Amino acid sequence: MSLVESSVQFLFVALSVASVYLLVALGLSIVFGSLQFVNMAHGALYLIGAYVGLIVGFQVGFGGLIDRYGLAPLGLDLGFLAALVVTPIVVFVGGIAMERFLAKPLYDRPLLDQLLVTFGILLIFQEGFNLVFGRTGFNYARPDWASGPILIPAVGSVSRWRIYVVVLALVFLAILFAFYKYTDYGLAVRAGTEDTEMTELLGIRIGRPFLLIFAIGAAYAGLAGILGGSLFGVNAGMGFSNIIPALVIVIMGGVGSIKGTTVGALLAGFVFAAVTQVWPSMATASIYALAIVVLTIRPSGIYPTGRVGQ
Amino acid sequence: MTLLELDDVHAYYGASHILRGVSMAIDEGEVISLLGRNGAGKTTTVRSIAGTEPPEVRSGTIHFDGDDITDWPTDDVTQAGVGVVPEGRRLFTDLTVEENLKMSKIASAQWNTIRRRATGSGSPTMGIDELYELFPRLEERRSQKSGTLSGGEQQMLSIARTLRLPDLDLLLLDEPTEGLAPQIIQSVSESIREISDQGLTVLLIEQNVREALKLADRGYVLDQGEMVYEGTVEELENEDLDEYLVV
Repeated sequence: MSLVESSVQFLFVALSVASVYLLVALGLSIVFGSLQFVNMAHGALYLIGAYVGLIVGFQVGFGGLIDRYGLAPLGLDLGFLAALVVTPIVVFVGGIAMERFLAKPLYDRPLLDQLLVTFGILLIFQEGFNLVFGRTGFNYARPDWASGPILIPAVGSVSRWRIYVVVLALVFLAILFAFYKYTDYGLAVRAGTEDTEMTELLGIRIGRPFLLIFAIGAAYAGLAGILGGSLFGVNAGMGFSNIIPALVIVIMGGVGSIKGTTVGALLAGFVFAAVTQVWPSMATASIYALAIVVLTIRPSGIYPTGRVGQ
Repeated sequence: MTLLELDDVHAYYGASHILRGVSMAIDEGEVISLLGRNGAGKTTTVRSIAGTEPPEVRSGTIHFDGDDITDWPTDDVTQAGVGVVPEGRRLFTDLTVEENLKMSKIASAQWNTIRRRATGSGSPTMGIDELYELFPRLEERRSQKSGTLSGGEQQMLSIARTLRLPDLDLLLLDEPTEGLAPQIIQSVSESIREISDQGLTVLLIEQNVREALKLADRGYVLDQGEMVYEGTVEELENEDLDEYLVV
């Protein structure tokens, strides 16, 4: 394998890891920045996305309660593409429910209360999924169009699916950016992030735009669940093991900043992929080490928004 | 016709009793000054009218254009025709001048459960061209982030933003000249006069008595949460109110 080929392969491993982190961290960051709400249960949306994707796309021999009641194999078997389309929509609706029933009652509570309650909710989901679907891991059976290598002239072979994951993340990042920049809802969210009360003094019931952005963040996490699940496998602990790095990325990038979250996810993806090559057991820990370095140099994050914690 | 009427309003910040029975009435087309020292309760009065919390209005009523708006949420009060230019300007500093102005236009029926549409008895809504005519500096800086404007320009933008609200009937200005240089105070005052000349009802909150009385028809004086004086500008000028005011 040539040096160019292995470099490009490494590049796409790093970028695809960054893509999954990014899609999870965006929703976390926006909600943290605009609603001043730190939502560890966002990890549950990632988890839900991975399982909804499996159930929509395939028939899976789940264990747990599903097996005990003779429901396995369970699934609609609509295929991988259907899972990619349907899952974000399902998790979008889940996000609306989460905002109304979990987040809203906690908006005026201190950060520590939010952290503890939402973290507890994440653990409840994790153990609930273990109970219902069984403790084993599951894999996405990707169809031909989403697997195998692509041969690039003068470079060599690169994983087709990793390229698609990166492209999907870029497309969804662009959609979010356009939403922020060019729609009235996006404008209201940006303004509300800075001064919620002032938006109300301009006649805007800011809860609606905030609900929408919460649900969009949820849909992104749901999509990330499929992408992450297809790259790293699916199990009930995946929400937990993804949300902590995502939170670190958000803080590192600057809470509420799309740009900062993107840069943070890229840094984390590259460090994670690099350390995986040389010392795999330290890969996750390396993200925290990265955060320590970044926050030592820039204590308010790479793109500080300067409002959280005031 | 009475546009805004406060009747024996008591407002609290937590356990602190700030407004202790405030009553006032503003007729359509009037320019009223609410005067008083720092901490007298002027901003609390504005916030009570606008429905922003805190404070909490525990007794008394606030009527606007015939409706009891005492317990209405802020966005409904705004939609009914009350525009507030808050203390400290409160611009969205990360947004451009144009985006700040657009914010007044985007509230729509889909977002709000509007209790009633304003009657539109005040001045017609100002178009963007009229606003730029009133504040030419803003047009020059339309694509600049509002956080980069000077203090005077920020105040003009804050006023312009509220003037852009549809169906505005009553303008509440909370210390619009605070912290501005004397020449800028002149130009802001002139803008306020132009606005009131167009027939808009204005409640002007000021510590700066001289500026306030130049613009107003009548004035109220607030001290320690109580209305201590009410009268026409001539009466206020002749009265010895030094103990309540910074002159």
